[in-house]
Order: sequence, then structure tokens, then C-alpha cells
Amino acid sequence: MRFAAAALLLLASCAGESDSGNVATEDSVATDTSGSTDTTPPVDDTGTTIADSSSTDSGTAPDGAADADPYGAYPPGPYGTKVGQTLAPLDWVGYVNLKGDAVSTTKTYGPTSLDALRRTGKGYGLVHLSEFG
Amino acid sequence: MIIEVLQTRAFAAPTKSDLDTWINGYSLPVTSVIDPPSKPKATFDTYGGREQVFVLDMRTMKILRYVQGSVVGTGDSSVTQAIPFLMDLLSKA
Repeated sequence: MRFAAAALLLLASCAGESDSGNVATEDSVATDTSGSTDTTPPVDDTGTTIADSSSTDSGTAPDGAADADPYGAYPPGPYGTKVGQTLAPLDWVGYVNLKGDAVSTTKTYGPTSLDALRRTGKGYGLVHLSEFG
Repeated sequence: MIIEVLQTRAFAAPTKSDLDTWINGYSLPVTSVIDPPSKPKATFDTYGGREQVFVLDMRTMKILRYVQGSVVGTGDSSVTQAIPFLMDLLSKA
């Protein structure tokens, strides 16, 4: 596990530097210079959408627009664990740490899921399965 | 996004205390989770055993790369093996 942990640390730092290529999140909004026109709402470390205080919304929205889900439902099965297959959604509990700016136990402990993490808007994910001997 | 799943401790469902020890032992700065108490070992039962990596396209949730690392501690870990592929993806994002 030691090598895996070291690799995760390296990867966390590298992935953080590449956030500007992904959909804006709380930690990347201020520094995103990619010129992206993606309008996906930002989310916090828990995967909760952050209200846009700078909105100039006139208060009038098209019918149904308020209920629109930019991410849609989790992709349907069949699910599998081979390349090209869709990974099954699972519920978890733990620490969501999208910024990689601190040891994860300093973050809020709570429920999350693969679906909730999908909704953070990140382009790619690496799921590592480990066991505590 | 990196998701570290501590799926078992000595083949049993891990607790929050186990997760804390795991994270603090390696100062992990990545999303780190366990199965909820209501669904113990769900990750193990669904995805399989330890030292696996799945690199996902988070828009489709399809597996782009799968790596099974060594479970006896020899050779490169699954994460180490997956890093070049992920970095290549990120460089093109």
C-alpha cells in the first residue's frame, strides 16, 4: 500500500493542477482560465450545488427549466468491471475531498455515492480499491 | 477525481475509525470512503477484491482503463500503473 499511497499523493497534486480543464467547481472557479463556456453549476466538497450569488436571473424561467438536471440519471446497466462496461453505482460514507488541499480527515464525514461524485462535474475519475490488513 | 475505497479490513467491513487510521497513516488528500453500515462489503461484492483501479469517464461512467495491481506487494501498485494513462487523459481535457 505504501507505493499506492505515494502514487495517490502524486496523483492528487497532479489532478488538482488539471482542474481547469474540467467543469468549474468551487476550487476552480476563481482560477479557471480555460475560457470554457460550460454552465454546469459549481458544487462544494459534499457534491452540493452552490448557489450563484452573482446571478442576474430576472426571476422568469422557461417552463420546466427549474427542474432541469444537467447530469441526468446515472447511466443504466448492465454494469460490469471490464473496460468499456459501465461501473455500477454504489453508496458510500466518508470524506469528499475534491480540492486535495488537506488530509481528508479534516473534511466533513458523511454519506456520498458514486452518483453524487459524478455530479461534481469532473471529467475523469480514478477509483482505487484497497484493504486495511 | 480520485476515489479511495477502503473496502475491507482483514476481510471484514471497516469502520470510520479504520478509515481515519488509513487516511492519517498515509496523509491521504483524496476522497476516501467506506461502505455504509447498512451495506457492509458492498464494494467488495460488486467490484471485486483489493488493489484494483478503474479509470472512469465520469460523463458516461464507462471504464476506460482497468488495472489489477499486485496483492502480495511486488511490482508497481495499480495506482502507479494507472497514473500515466490518467495523466494523458487530463492533458487532453
